[in-house]
Order: sequence, then structure tokens, then C-alpha cells
Amino acid sequence: MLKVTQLHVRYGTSVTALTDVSLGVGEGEVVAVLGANGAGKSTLLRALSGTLPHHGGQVTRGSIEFEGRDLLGVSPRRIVRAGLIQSPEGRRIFKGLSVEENLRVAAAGAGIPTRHAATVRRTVWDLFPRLEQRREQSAGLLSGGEQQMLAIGRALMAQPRLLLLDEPSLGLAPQMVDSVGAIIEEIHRRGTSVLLVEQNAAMALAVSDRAVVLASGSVCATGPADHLAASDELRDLYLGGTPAPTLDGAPQ
Amino acid sequence: MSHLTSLLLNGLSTGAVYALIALGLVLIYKCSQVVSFTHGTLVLLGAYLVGTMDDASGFIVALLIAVPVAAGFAGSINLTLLSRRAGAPPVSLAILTIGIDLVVLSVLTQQLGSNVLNISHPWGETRWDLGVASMSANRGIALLMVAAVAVSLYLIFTRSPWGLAMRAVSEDTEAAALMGLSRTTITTLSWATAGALACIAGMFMAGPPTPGVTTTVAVVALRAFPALIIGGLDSLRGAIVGGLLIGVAESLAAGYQHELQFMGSGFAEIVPFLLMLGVLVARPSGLFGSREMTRV
Repeated sequence: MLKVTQLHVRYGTSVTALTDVSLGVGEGEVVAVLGANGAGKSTLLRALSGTLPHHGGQVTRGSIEFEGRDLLGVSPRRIVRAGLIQSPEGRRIFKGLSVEENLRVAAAGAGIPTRHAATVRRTVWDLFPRLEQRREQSAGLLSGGEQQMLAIGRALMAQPRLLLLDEPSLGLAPQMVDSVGAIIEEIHRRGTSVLLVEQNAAMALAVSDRAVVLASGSVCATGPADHLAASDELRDLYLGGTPAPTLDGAPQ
Repeated sequence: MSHLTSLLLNGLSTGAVYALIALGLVLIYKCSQVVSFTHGTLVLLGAYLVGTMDDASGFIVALLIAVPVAAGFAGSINLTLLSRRAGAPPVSLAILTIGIDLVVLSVLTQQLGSNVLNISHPWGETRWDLGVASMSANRGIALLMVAAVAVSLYLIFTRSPWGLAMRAVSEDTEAAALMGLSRTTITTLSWATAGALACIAGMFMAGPPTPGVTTTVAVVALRAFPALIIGGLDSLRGAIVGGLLIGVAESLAAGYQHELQFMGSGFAEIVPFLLMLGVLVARPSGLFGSREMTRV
């Protein structure tokens, strides 16, 4: 459903952030994009959501196709309405709004009619019962894990066909990281495809079908998630070089 | 005693007009972080529109036409000139609004010449006798208007999708864009609302007890700036409180002119700005404004 072909992205006149990146997400798939800081993961998502201009960036070559539609140069608003939405890194929920208002404003942004929005909100409450208990509370008062749930729930209000998640486990307690993984699997089970950008490779590979590894703005490995999880190659590429040599023979 | 009550009451009612103007400025600032220096002229434009049309078509029709026209004009300033400069620092945009102000003000000054354009308000010169004091009906209605506008804005911001979108955009433009909320639409709507409020304020300002529409209206409207700064740039509540405070301070200074004679004549006119300086020294972000926070 999503097809990125030979994408090149540049910030300003000289900083090249992505070079020749190609990847795809099929109907009903969960695809992970892995990579260290600065590998170009967030740039890729900005290109997909149409927010590169907010950062002074532009696509210089290549194409992005979503369900047969060309997404290059399309406004973020149209992209959301086409069924592709992003839950950004750092959650970025609207802290001055209540939990429920966050969901209502997202429905408005995606053009979901008010009456239908109540039904969609019901499905989000079902997925995150904790949020429903705090619906009246100001979103800024939620815990980190709850804020992440709200960020995902807010994106789901648009009833996306493809959900982009940028670092959903960042800054969360290990226990919360596991539940984020479970949430992704549940969202997938309900019929939404997911493109998951993560630094936490273990969690990401556990929930995805396929994975793409980015390094310095290019794809350096791609393949089935279980295959990549087992490979030393991934560890070398992505965790920064070979593991330290063991000290065989060194004096104890 | 009744002198004081009367001064307070008249101060509040003058302040109500400043509050209407300041509310528009806050709306614009909240959505786009731009302080609009075109606003005084928009107030004059509103008064001018009502004043030119009401002879031919009657006051109500003139107002019903002028408010949407002023709103459309303010909205189109944002749409054609400001929103195209997305990413430009708010300070440059504020300077751009000074330029727009100069152009519009010159055109209006030329149109008005040295004439005084009278608005024939249906309530005319009526004064309301409130027992302890009396006030002009014009200003009394302005005071009621501010209350109505405050309640409607509160409902809009908490209930309507547009109000929620406005709060979301003012908090995090990029996250709002990712949710499909268009910044241009939201800022244009806020400009249009501010333009409508400016038009209504101009209509009141050019009525009793002050003479009709002259270019002075634009100058007097500038007193909404101290109101804005006293209340806090991003607080709607602050705009109302600031506006009322300025009105009362001005009215008291004018009323006790004799006692304040040692400050020289015309002291009342600088009182709003003195008050603003005082607040800036004590609370730089205004009485209700959110404090600027910078991570070091």
C-alpha cells in the first residue's frame, strides 16, 4: 500500500539526509525501520507526512506512493485524509487540552463527522481503558506511558489505513515498552498497517513482519524481522560495530 | 462618593471597548505568535464602514454588512500576506503588519479628510440612569457586548471543533499539522474574528460620549496595546481585565484632574502607558500571561 522509491531528501541547500531510500509496506503488514540517532528515520517519516517544509527540508528525487496516489507535494491535511497518519516522536500531545479534547480535535483534523467521531472514540477507549478513566483530565498531567497511549489513540481517531509510529517506546519504563509492543500488535490485528520507527530493535523486531535498517541516510539492510533479529550483521551495522573482543588468554 | 462611582462605571464602559480590541489581538497572537500593529486601523475601518453605510441603509443593515466585510478584510490580510511567509520569525511578520497599517491608514485618512462622519446609533445620546450614577447607553451596551463576547469565546474554545483546533495549533503547530489541522485556516479564522471584534469596537468607539468617526479613533484604539500587555499577550481573560483596568485608570485620572494638576494637563492620556510600565516591571509576562520559559 505504501511504496517509497529512491527517495532523496535534503535540508537547506547542502545537508543530505536521505539518499536513495526505497521501501514498502504491504496491506496488513507491520514494518519496522531501525537505525541509530541521525540515521534518517525521522526524516523519512516527515517526508511521508508532508511536514519536511516545517524543518526547511525537501524531497529532491524519488517518489512516495500511497494506495496508488502520489504523496509528493501533498499537504499534511490531505495526507491524513488519504488514510496515512503519524504519531510523532516525543508524543507531542496537546498538553493544554483534556484527554478527550485531544481525541476530538484529532477527529476534526481528519474530517471525521462529529456523530461518527463518538463511535471511533469508543474504539479508542476500548483499546486504552486507562485513558477513558482520565478523559476529563488535562493531558499534561498524564504519566509518560499514558501520554504515549494518548498520542497513539489520537492518531487512531483519523481511522488510518496506515499508522506511522515514531519512537513510541522512547523514554518509557521497560514494562511500558512491552505494553507498547502489545498495543501495536492489537492495532495490527484490528486491520491497520503499521510503519514502526524504533531505536529499541528488540521490541520492534518482535512485533514486525519485516524490517528496514537505515544508516547515514541509506538502507543498509532489509529482510524478514525474525531473520534480522537472528543476524550478527544487524548488530554490527546498527549497534555500532562488532562486539568488543573477548579477553581470551588475558591474565585474570 | 457618587463622583467616584460614576468615574468607575464610565471607566469600565470605556474599558469594555479596549477589551474588545485586545481580545482580537490575543486571538491573533495565540494562533500565530504575531502581534498585529494593524489593529488600530482595523478599528477605524470598522467605524468608517458603519458610518458610510448607515445613512443610506440604516444602522442595523450597515452593521450587518460592515462586520463581515471587516472580518473578510482582516482574514485576507493573513491569507494573502502573512501566511505565505510561514516560517518567518514572528517579529518580521509584526513589522509587516506595521506596513499594512500605514497603507490602510493613509487610504482611510484620505477618504475621511477633516470631516467627522457620524454614526446614527439607534440608542443615540440616551443615558442610562443607574441611581448612583449614569452612563451613556452606547458604552453600557458595549459593556454588555464584552460580556456576551467573552461567554461566546469561552464556549467556542471549549466546545467547538474550531476552538479546539485553535488551541491545538497555538500549542504545537507541527503536531497539529500531523493531525490534519491546517495552520493557515486556523490563523485566517482568528484574524477574521479579530477583524469582526475590531469593527464592533470601532462602532462603539465612534459613538457618544465621543464624537463620530475621525482618524483619532485609530489612535485611541492603540490604548488596547497597554491593555494587552497588562493582561498578558496570550490570555483572553487578561485582555478583558487589562482593557477594563485601562478604562478605569484613564477615567479616574481624568476625573481627578484637578488634584493631579501638578502632573500637568493631559495626564490621563499617559496613564494607560504608566500602568503598563508598572506591570512590566513587576510581572513581565502580564497579569495572566504564561511565563516565557527557556531551557538552558
